[in-house]
Amino acid sequence: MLPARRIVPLSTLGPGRRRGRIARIEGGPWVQRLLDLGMVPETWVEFVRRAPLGDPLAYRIRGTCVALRRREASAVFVEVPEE
Amino acid sequence: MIPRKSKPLAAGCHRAFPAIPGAGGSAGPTIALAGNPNAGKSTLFNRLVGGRQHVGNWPGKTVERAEGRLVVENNSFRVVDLPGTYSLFADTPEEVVARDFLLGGEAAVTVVTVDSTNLERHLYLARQTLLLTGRVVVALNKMDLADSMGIRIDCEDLAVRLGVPVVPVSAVTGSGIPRLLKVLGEAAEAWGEGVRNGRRGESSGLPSGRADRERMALELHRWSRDTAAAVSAGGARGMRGCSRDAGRDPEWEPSGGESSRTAGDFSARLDRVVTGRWFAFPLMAVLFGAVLWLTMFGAAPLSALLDRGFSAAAALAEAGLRSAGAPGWILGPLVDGMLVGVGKVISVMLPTMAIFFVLIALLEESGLVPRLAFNADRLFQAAGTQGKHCLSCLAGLGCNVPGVMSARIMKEPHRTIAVLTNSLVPCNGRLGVILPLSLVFFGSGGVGVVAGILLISAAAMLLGTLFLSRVVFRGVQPGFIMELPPYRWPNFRTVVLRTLRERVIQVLGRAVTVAAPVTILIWFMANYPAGAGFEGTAAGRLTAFLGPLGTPLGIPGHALTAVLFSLAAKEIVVGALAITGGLAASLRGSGADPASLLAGWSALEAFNFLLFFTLFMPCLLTAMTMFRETRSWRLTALGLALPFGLAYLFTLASYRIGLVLGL
Repeated sequence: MLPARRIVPLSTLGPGRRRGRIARIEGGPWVQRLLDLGMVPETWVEFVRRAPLGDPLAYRIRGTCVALRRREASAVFVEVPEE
Repeated sequence: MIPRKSKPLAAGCHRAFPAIPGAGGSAGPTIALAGNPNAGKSTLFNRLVGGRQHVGNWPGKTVERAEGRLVVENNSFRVVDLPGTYSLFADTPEEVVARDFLLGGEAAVTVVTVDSTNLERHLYLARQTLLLTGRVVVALNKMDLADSMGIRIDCEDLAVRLGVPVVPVSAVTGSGIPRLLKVLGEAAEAWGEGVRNGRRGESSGLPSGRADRERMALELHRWSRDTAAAVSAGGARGMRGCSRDAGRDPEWEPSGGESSRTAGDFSARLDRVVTGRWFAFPLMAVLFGAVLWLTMFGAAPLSALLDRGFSAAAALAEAGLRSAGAPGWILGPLVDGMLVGVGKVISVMLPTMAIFFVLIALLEESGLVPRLAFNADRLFQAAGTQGKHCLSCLAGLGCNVPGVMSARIMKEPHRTIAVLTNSLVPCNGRLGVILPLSLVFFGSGGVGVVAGILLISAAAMLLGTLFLSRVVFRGVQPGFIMELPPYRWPNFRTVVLRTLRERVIQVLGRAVTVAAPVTILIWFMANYPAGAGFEGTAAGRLTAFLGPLGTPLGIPGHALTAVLFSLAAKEIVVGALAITGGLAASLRGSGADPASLLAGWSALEAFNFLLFFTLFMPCLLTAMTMFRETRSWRLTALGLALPFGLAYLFTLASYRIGLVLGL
């Protein structure tokens, strides 16, 4: 049986819950750049770390580590298992 | 490895020759180099063309263009290094340049450099490139690294799937390069024919609308993922930390399970310190300090040596000219221009810039520099820009010319803001003046004074940034998206050669062509009209005129004139001070005693002079670079007015506070 899932902003991933699968990206000037970096639906993303001052955030995606600000990360929605 | 699907390639010679120096000759077919950032494209470019290259700009764009010549078996090729991009779909200047070039059909062959340790990501650009031109050869780079990681790639299978030749290489070690040259030669011969027969401008499979582009991006990513999975095997997961795959089809397991297994990895462990909450900023401070210290103290003996060489040459020239009966108005400016405009600029700038920029390039190659931007982003966000601004400031510590140019790594309006504020970062030229002067005047307190001036400069830079982002360039902020590549050992030889060629020599050449004529002009101003003493000369009259302007700042008029003269090159301010103080009739009199220059000044006057000199205005060469980068007189004027205004404000405040404190 598949566990229940829900959709949360990427920015809510953290040391506790690190991984999620991208569901969609909401509009903004950054969409194409995120897509080009591999942030496309069905791709797994993993939280790596926060910068020392809390922003930006680093994620591992498609074999590379990408840093983006909380604002951009809030526009990416990921599927995570229900707890 | 040449697939059957592709056009049949003409049978080439089966012996491959390494590149030999080109002898001019005709341009020959064009080979374009495309690839992601971090694919090792510039290393491959250097491997292919060696020293036979020149760097410029793409027409009408502030995107660097490198071009070189490659000779294989007496066939000459023109190699064009396209900007490194993740994609060809978006509209950043780099991507527009690369896309237009490929669509123009000028290239007989396009080499897409692909990182074989991260096939999935890099195949995305390869596939996009194939939509623009079918004449592609894929260079599967970093094969040595992939081998050591246990990754095996079926090149023949990949070649069939892509429909173009695939050649495994290592640009760093040079393995596979002869084979790549051979394939390139054959491909250019076969495909070059098509170019000559007017098959230019192949129709592009590029979608135009935003929704279409997004759909295509999704499709291409899926294709890259499936292809990468199909052609490669092995590769211990988690070996490269940040570059470890996030997992292709992981189960829906509770979080935290798998990630703990990556803990042992090197990049991740290093990142825990470099970007950690406690160590990040102290480490950055130590790093900045170490780079500056190595530069200043490493360059000093070399500078002294060069200086002595130029002095000897000038003395010889002077003696020769004098014995030939040359009049003073030829002798003075010639020797001054040569000794100060050329000699001083070279002897101060060459060692400092060489050491500084090699150090920075090593940090860049090692992967540390992107972490600096990552750490500093929040600070710069508060001022209205982003983490990459910190990197252009770092370059500005060496010289503001590369500092201004390095703003290209940012998008508008951050780029323009970084261009206009860069001169508020004190370059080595200024540090090299204020450090010895304050040591002479303030004794052991001098280091503290310089540290204070550096802090005030940083405050002025952030204030200028804040002003520009809040008042002049309001509107949509582009944010911060940046890749953090895995750490690696830099290739020392490539770094040194590239830095010397692209930064040091270029900047030095331009610096000399600006500084020499201006120092000659200064000689005339200090000596004409003749016969009336210093007060009667042009420089003397300027000093009398500027005197009242300096009073509210607590700076003597002749020091203001010297600051004005230092627009030619900041290094000459000491010599200029000797002239305007009436201690010398020419700039080379500066060799004298620096202590005598500030004799009779109060501590407050000396501090204010050093502060004003540090913030004042960009040198002429930096101003010219600002114009080249912005292509706007108004913005360049703003880039001159802003530091001047801040210099005036800060010095005024410092004088007032000093007077209140009774200094």
